[in-house]
Amino acid sequence: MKLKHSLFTRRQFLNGLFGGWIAALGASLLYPIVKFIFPPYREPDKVILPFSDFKSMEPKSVKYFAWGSKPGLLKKVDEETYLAFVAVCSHLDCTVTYLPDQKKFFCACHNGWYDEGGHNIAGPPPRPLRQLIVQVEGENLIIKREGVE
Amino acid sequence: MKVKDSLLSIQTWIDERLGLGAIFNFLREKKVPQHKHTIWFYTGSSILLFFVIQVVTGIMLAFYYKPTLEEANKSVARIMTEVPLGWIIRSVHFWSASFMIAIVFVHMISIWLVKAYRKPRELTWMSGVFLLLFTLGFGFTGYLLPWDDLSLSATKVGTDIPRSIPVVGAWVTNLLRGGEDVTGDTLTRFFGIHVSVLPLFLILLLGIHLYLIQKLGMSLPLDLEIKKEEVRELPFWPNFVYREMVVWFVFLGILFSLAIFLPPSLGKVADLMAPAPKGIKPEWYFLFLFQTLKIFPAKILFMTGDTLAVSLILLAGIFFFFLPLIDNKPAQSKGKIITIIAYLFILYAAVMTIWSLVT
Amino acid sequence: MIRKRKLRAVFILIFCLLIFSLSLSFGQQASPSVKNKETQVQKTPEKVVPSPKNIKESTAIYVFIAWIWVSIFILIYIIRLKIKEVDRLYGLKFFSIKKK
Repeated sequence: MKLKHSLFTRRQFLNGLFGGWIAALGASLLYPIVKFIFPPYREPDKVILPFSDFKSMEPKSVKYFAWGSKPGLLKKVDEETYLAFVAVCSHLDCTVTYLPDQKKFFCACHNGWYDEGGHNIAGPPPRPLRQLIVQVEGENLIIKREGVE
Repeated sequence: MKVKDSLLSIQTWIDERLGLGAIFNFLREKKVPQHKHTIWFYTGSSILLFFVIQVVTGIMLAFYYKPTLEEANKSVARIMTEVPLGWIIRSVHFWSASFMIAIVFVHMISIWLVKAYRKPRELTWMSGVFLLLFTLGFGFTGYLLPWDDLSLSATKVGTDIPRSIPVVGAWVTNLLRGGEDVTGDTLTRFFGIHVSVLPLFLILLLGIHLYLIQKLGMSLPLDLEIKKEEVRELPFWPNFVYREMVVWFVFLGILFSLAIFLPPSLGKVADLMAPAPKGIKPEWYFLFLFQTLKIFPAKILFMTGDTLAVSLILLAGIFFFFLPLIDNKPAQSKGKIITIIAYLFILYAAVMTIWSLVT
Repeated sequence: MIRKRKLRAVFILIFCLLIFSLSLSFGQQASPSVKNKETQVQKTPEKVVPSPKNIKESTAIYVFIAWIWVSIFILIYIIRLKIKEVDRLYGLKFFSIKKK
């Protein structure tokens, strides 16, 4: 029976406490399950590759490298300059390729085109290719995310 | 209140189409007798609780486990070290398996001793025997999956034992191993059995087992049935279910505590060419069988000790399966002898297990 | 009557022996390593012993276990109240009136 000035009866209070506590217990058990099922994806800050693998590249040619679990494309502009992109199409994640005779990056899935600098010029891609910073230090080729030391 | 009304209307919508209200009414009408053996009634739902935990944690482990010779051990190590809280999930799976098998044994023994398998519940018992075999099968196939030195040796021994069965022995071993020897094929086969075949068969048989229990109602112990006394009864829902919840909570608490403070480790990768590790033993639920095989001498008359032991075990199994038909006059001397046999079996299993553990 | 009691005592003794030896074997198999604050993934021939990775994780685990047991005690307390209530209602034939 509910008194006029009470918000709820004792039964409602106990039932609510019971149900609420079980819900809290369930949530606290759900948390480790969710953490388990969704492991954290960590993109590498930088990737260090042996320069010898890329020294012999022709100018204006590209070579793939591993950027964590994604593909990356290294483009040799000339003997001094390299460009690096994450070779993942900004439309639906297909791996792009470089067509040297057209001097464009091309995504075969839905005919997406990017120019030499990775900017999207034709087709469905909404954004340019993600660019990475390239540094040559002695024996190593270092490819970094923007903003990393 | 708006929320309560909308929930009620959703419930009515579903009930008008699925008619599930009949199930809930049945559960409210179902009565559970209160007598000195009612405590054993709690074992059934506890088995179900642990089985559900096994399915959930098993599915989660299967997200990261790779069932091939090259990757199995590595993937389990990865679960234990890299995947967030993976070691807890694996630990829960490990401990819940032992809990489930232990409670299955208790459930079976309690039914046996009160003779709940009397007419008309023979089929419930027989489906239960299959459920026991499947549960042990889960334990056996699951034990190989980490593919470490201990589990490889245990599987080599375990799959060699059926070879001693007369006539079909070699064929059974071949079926289990996927060939003459334990190889990567055995691992993949055991994985398929552990996650697809056994769950499917167990759930089918569980459905039959549960249906029979609902249809035939709860049994009375023999002495109460003979006396034809009035027995106090409680409704299944909500009275008995609330009591079962208490048991579940306690079990869950013990399970989590054990899982977190005593997690299982992972041995080094199995080497097919390496000798068997010292002090090799199967999991605790197989120890009494293991010790039985050990005590038989190498040769008896014209048979090997193994063949005789395995044949005796098989005969015991068949006697066990047909127990309700054999024990058809439970109140008379035959019934009393069978009860004595039950106590002797429990004693034998306990003594064999202890012997196996201390040597 | 006394014989039954003796038999029961023997069985309880054997049961305790069983649990004792099982727990001994479990203690050897499952390595208790909450003391280690690092996961030991050594070179492949070694055993992998799971444990929380850092002090944050081990504290979180103790908190979690405490929360689980406190919850269990509170929930069991409430369920016992509900059991008493529901038994009382059944005794008053409250549930028998429900006829569609």
